[in-house]
Amino acid sequence: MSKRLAGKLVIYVLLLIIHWFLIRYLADRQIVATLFSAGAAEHLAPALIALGFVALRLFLVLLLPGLLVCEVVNGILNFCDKISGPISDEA
Amino acid sequence: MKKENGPTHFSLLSVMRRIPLLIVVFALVAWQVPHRWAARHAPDWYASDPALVTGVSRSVQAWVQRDLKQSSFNTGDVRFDGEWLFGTYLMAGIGFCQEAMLFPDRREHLVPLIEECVEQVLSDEVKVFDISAWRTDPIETLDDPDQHHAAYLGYLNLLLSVYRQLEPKNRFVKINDRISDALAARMAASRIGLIQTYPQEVYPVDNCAVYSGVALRERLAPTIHGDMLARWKEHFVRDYVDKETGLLIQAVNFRDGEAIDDPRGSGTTLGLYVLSFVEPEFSRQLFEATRDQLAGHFLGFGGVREYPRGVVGFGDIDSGPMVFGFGMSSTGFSIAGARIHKDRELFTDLFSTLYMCGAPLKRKGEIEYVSGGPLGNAIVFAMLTAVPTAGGTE
Repeated sequence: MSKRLAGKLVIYVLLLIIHWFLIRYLADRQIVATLFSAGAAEHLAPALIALGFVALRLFLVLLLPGLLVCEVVNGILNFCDKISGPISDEA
Repeated sequence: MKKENGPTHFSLLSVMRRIPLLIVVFALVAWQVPHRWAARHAPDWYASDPALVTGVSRSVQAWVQRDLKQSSFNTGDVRFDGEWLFGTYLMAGIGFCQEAMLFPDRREHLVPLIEECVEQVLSDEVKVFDISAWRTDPIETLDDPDQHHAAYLGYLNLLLSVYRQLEPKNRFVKINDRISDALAARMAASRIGLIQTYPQEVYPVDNCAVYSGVALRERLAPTIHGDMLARWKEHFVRDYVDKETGLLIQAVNFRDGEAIDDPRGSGTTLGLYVLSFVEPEFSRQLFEATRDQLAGHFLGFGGVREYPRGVVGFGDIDSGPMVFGFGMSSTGFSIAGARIHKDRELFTDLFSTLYMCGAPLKRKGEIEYVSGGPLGNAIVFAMLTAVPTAGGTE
């Protein structure tokens, strides 16, 4: 596994851990509920935290699986290239 | 293939050739995996798994036993804060009733919770939003035919009737009778067949709750309203269900009953839920119209549109936030419709969206939907425990 891929995986795991803590923090403070009400402007800071949470959740659930599989496919292709050797631009 | 004279690094062309493949792989995974993962508990919920129901029930129980006030909500409008406080106790109470119907052995534990919800709904703190609008107390003016209070009395009476179905000799039977008789008299006296939620504001969906509460009580303890209710239903279907789409019209003029808003998802889906207690066939018709006209997908996640296809509209306090035309309220309320009318596929699709947006958190035996707050959790509880209609097939 390349250092680059390992670095990416570490970032993904960190994001999952942040999500794990954030969902508990938000549950304790009931912050996300504020975002979904029209008066959220009165609570800008919590609303921004909540917005960040929603964005993080969308990223983790919708995008992360695709990115992980792409990493794996890309890794396999790199491995195949290594075995068969680099292909020049002339090919 | 190895080229002896080629460069030793992976060329740009080689990387460029991969990009379309990786895009296809990414799209395929995003389309197929997340919604399936988010829906993994849907079969258990569809089968009313006792542990899951208990988890959400405990979370809602914790909410209703907290010292909730209007100020616990931040809608930006005092009336809506009051409505949300009212809605929290109402939906929690109905949810507890449904849980007791699904699991009769839990009745003893749930009855005190249901009664606490009813007491809260009857309290001055909760009904103040309705008093502010009408400038009269809805309970003290039950003998005044001009004081409609359709929403407060209609939904409260539905809770009382559903509870009466569960406990025929409960301590709220008298108030259930008084409210039912008052509402029946107002329905019969109305020129347009509907009564007002707030002065000069008429919403067919609130009248579905009025009808459902009165008709359920009539079924449990028959009085003289049977014929009036049958005529009312006929009139309602003829005038307030959109002929083209089969959806409920959202709002009508209080003078002549003419539509002043479009047929919409939030009203229709809540209407079909409250009607399911007494009119399963009418509820099914509304559910089928919802499924045909409003249901859709985004990346496999199910959603229910607020407006029919081709109609452009904006979100409001009824619809909740709208994304790509899908409304939060109509999507949430449709979960109950899919359970009641045994549409497993739609239930699964909608549940995946609930999981994604609701962010459920399980801890200490409770399952709480983090983005829901008190009202959201109470609604989710009521929707996920909606009792399927007897008979029929999936």
